[in-house]
Amino acid sequence: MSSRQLAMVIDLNKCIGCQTCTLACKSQWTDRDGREFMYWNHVESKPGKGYPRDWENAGGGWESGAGAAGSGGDKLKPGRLPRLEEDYGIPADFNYDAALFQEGEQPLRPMQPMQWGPNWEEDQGAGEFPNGYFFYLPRLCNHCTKPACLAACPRQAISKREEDGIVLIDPSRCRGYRYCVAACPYKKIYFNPLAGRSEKCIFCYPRVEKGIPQACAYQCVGRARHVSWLDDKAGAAWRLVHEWKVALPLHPEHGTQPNVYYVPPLSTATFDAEGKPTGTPRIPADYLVSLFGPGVQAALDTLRREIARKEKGEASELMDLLIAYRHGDMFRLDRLGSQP
Amino acid sequence: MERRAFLKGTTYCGLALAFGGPLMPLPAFAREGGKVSRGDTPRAWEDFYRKEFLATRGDAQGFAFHCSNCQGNCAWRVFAKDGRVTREEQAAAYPQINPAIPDANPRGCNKGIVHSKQTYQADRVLFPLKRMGRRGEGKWRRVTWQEAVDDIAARVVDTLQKNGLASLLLHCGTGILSQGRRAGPLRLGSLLGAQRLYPASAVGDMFTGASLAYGIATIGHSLDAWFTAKTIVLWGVNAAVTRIPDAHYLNEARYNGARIWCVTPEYNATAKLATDWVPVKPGTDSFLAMSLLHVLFRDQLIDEAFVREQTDLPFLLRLDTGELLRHRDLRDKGKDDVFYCRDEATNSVQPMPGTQGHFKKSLRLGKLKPALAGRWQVKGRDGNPIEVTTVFERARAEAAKFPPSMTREQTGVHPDLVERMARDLAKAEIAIVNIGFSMHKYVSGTMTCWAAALACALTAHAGERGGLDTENNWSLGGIGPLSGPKPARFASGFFSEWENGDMAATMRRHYPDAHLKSALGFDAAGLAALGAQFRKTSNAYFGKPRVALLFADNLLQRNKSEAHYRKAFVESLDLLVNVNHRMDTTALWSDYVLPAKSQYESWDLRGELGYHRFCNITVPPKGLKAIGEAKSEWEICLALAEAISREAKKRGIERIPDPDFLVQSGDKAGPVMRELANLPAEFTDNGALKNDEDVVRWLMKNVPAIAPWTPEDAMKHGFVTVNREAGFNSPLYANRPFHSFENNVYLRQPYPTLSGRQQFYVDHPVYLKTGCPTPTALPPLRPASFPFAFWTPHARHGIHSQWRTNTWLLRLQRGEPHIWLNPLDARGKGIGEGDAVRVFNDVGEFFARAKPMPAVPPGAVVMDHAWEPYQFRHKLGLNNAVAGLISPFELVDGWGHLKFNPNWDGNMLAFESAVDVEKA
Amino acid sequence: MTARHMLVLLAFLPALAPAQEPSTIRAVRAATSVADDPDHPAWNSAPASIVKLETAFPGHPSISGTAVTQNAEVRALATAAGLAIRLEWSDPAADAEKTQHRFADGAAVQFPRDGKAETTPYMGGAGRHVNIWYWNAAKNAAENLWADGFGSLTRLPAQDVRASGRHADGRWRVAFFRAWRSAEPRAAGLRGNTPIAFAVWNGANDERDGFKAVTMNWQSLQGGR
Repeated sequence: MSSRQLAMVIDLNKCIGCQTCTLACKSQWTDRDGREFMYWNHVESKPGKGYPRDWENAGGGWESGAGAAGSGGDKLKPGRLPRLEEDYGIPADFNYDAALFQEGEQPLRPMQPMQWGPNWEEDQGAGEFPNGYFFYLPRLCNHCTKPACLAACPRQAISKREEDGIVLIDPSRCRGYRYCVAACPYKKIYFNPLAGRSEKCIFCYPRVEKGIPQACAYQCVGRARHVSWLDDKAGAAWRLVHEWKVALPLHPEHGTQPNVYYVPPLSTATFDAEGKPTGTPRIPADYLVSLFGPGVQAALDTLRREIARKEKGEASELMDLLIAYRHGDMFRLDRLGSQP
Repeated sequence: MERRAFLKGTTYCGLALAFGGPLMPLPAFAREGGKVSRGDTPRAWEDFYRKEFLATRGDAQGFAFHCSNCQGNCAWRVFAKDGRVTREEQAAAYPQINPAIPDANPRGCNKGIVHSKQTYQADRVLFPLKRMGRRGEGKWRRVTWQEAVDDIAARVVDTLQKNGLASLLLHCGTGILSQGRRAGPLRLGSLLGAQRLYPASAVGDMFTGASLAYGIATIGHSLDAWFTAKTIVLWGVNAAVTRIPDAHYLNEARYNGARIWCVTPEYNATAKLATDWVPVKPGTDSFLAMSLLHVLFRDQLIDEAFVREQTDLPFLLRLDTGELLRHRDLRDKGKDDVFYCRDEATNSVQPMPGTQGHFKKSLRLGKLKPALAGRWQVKGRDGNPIEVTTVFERARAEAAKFPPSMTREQTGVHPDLVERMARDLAKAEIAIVNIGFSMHKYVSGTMTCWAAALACALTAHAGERGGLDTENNWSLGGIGPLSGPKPARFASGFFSEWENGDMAATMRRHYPDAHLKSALGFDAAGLAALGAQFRKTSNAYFGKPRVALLFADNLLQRNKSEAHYRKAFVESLDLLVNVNHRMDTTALWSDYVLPAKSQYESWDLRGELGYHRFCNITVPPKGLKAIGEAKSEWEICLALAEAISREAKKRGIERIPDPDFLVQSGDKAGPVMRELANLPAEFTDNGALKNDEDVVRWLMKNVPAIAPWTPEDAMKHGFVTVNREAGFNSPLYANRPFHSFENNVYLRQPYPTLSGRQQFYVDHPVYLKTGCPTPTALPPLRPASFPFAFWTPHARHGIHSQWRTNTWLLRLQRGEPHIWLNPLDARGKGIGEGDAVRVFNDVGEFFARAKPMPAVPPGAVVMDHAWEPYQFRHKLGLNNAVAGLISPFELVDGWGHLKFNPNWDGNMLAFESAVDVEKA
Repeated sequence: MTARHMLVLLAFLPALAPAQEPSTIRAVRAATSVADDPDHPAWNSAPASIVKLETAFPGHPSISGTAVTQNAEVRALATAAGLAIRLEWSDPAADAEKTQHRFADGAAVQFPRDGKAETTPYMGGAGRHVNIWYWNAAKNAAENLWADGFGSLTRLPAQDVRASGRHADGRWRVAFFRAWRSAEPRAAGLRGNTPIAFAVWNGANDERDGFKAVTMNWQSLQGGR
């Protein structure tokens, strides 16, 4: 554990699945040097197999201990390494020259067929019309308080920074053994075959150190991401996670104690056989519990209660916090002035 | 235990214990507070990523927006290193206009953010290319600029001489929407008197329902108004995909207690964020709209004072002819544009002030109290009584035909939803009804939009109370001398495309005459007659061009019945020139492709887009290296002007008179002169406008809505704020969202309609004949000959065909076009995930892959639009299976405000074709 | 050390084979320049020693499994320019590609820096470091490394070791070469007789890092300059 922790809250109700964050991250970090296939930040449609394909069944994390849910044990669960073509998807290149500047009927295509990608299941989801449903789940390294990757590295190449809790792989220490890739239950560490080492989201520390928020958060045009110190009681992370309890970690059962939190998604009602709205949200409650743990029901109830206050013209601090009237207010990075 | 002691024998046992070491912290590598201690500088390796970050930040910075076909208009910073663009990031510096309304940051989406890649992508046109093989074959020869412009100029002058001025089409499409970069082609075309198409109608983006009601097609709100609304209806608009920079206002409005109704046949990203999704069956929206009206009328959820003053609902209409009662019905030589109400104050028939023919140019009723309902007799000019009633009665009677319980059969929407939606609309202090660009892709869209306007009128949603929203635009006066110095041939977009592409042929093939007749009241011959009439009265069609110079217009991708259209349009051309930064489908079929600069390379400015109040500027990063031989549009037009001048002089032509346009000079009128020899001086205004920077500086100086800002102000953050003058029919207040029609609602200024009011009765013979003089419902037109409805909503990963071929965006899709099918339909057809399929009908076919989607209703083939045809097998795109279709309602020309102009033109109807699908 | 770690160790012990007598690898003088050519005819003149390989002790809980390679044939040549060592072992498939989920075959030669057998052959120990020449099939080149304990493997500034491998008939032959003198102060001296150890990784078995087949004790290289 670090002495302080920078945390992110992603509001799944505000995420519109536009992938601007994905590309903000891509052009900031992963458009070069063997990282082309990597998406340190991506957005997947849920339910679905996600990215890398089937990551939720690829192992990793801590064996559940005897303690409270989410606390985890002290033994790592085995995990498997995702494959390039089948699980990540190739970073396809296209035959522009042949299709556009040479004669012939050859259409513009990936030079190698694509089998998967970071957004392969876009808007597919589950259910049956008219009760189909999907929502967007942006994912990045969770900069866990109890990182399985760190524990799994025999070379101690992974560290958690004391001053901000950012989990980093030392590129000069890493020799690409990939125990961390297997150990991460979110499969958010990627092996760079060109560099021969593993890499991952660095929470944009070079930006954060200069007071510029993470590319994925600052450039989120849906204004879905808040960043603040977890101990800053005026910050969105503390308020949404601890005060209002509407922001929850993803798959807490892996025991790594993530520091990226999610405001779970509301959804319109299903229709009955007559086409009449039932009042039951179309995203099944048990599915959300499987992602965000048992706290999700209370979180959704709180959101609905506070929205109802606004509908009646009453004030709601929670809603104002989630609305975020000024983009700049969503980020409280200042290390000194953050203690209330 | 002494470790050394166990190493001696190198036995397993000893080692095993010794190996306990690594399982404990390694002294040599133990981290204290994350620091590696081994004599290294602590964490020096962290500089690895810091250096990368600084490299992307570069050594020079500019500003840009990405308005290729896009209505986003977002300010970005552009970083460059060693003369090459490295990255872009939203400027995120727009000021908050009001502390109670979220600010507009950070505007900019997934398309803008990949433009640094697009700039250098291998489909970039780097040099002037001349076609060598057959058109479309893809055989090119690199030529010099000189060679290209000289040859083009020779053929331009040739056609002007031989075939007349109208034979030249010089058109800037929606690929450039900004005032800076559009100015070049507009100015050159204007000086030459060339044809240009009205882009909004050429691409099918006219809101004719709004034009009927308001005399203006694009009306509405700045989109921050969403946050203030309590009811929002998103009708045929997938805002989470097509309004990405503004969609946050919807989510924030939801948190602010708004009901958000999303009306769309497929469960999309916007339905996902709504509070209520209305899964209307495709093309049946007008039935839903009529049911909304039904509930409003039935339950008297009507603001009578508003309706009496602001609408034509109290106008009297004749029960015998169905026409509005006019002055000429009562008096010999009476006026055509004076209309009447039944005044309850005096129990008499009184003319309504504010109509086009009334001397009083105000909506103020004074002592008049126009009746809304009733039947009366008035004495006609021949002394005979005329039975009259009100438009209100007629509209109410029409709505009475569509109770929610009955339209359910057409729409599939449960009556409870309709009832609740109507009540939400009526009770909200501020309600906004957004009509998307999808709506008018159906013939019935005109009616749906018109009915939605009526619903807003009944519930008094206008001005600060919200109301209909098609798309708000700012008024940027003062541009005329730059972009239109001389009158020229402004052509109807949809009608020109219809004629040039011989679209009637595929309409006749796809829609049986009897079907057209029963659904529309006109068969193919009837529509052709309407077209001939339109051609005669509108003066908006100038014949098939012989030479086409196209700037940023991908008409061969866009137009329906793709292969058929292409053959008809391209084959009759002597020369097709495309000015483009990338090789799009139209470029692929051209005779010359001239390399244009793209978003980051030339100066530019955009301020007319009214979703927000910011006028953005493009300033290239200092030292940016040229990309190939690309030139700005302004430079290209200047090069063409110089070449045309040289060619004209060579042929001894000084100028060509254009008697179609007269200019007044003193007390004499003479034809406009097309000054070929002097074209460069005219184009540059005698050297004042040499390049794109000069143009931007001119605009900032001469457009009143931009005052008092200078380019230097804009260069601080990439934008300036437009002023109060920018509002068309309301002031733009510094601290409030913009709402249309405040001048009408509060100052009682007449609307630019025949009635001077929001108009809900049109007695043009076509509207009377079809039974649509007031909003009503029309069934979808797709024929029963093929089982699947086919529609193509706007794409998330492109702005039309722009960025559709971008590598980084294609990697976030599946690399090639996919259709979306309901999983049950897919199973029924033996089609699995990713299978190759053939989509076909009697117009044509195309091949794609299948993506089963529970979000898509059964009986539908849905596909995000505007893939380049060359992304499909045989290079035949999705429009190949879309029939031509034209609407009789939009062919009306010459009735009050329904006269060809930027607010009254039609659409190419895109969503009315039926297809079948099979495994390929 | 936690109790759990102790249990892991104890569970592992019975699987281990007894210690072997060290082999002696004699470096034969060669007149020609062999360098790192694994197929050079001069190798035929050098005697082959078979060294037995065992699964290395897992130095970290992440490391588990049984390494497949059981022995390797070692030859050494002393040329005018430097020392060449060739490892040859059986591996039906060449795993020469390092992809996201695949590991490449590898081989290593290890020397105690001080030339003394008291240095532990298991990656060295505190104050007694080892010099490792590491070859990986993905790059088909050598890395010059040092270590002083598990998890401490580090690249040396001077990369003056060469290696090259060839896979044929179900066998890898990998030749290492280094000049007699190295500019790298932490490199092993190659004078006289020196302890030497070997390791082989089979990529198809996900072997990497401490998951490898190793000689369980120092062997002896004779005939260095």
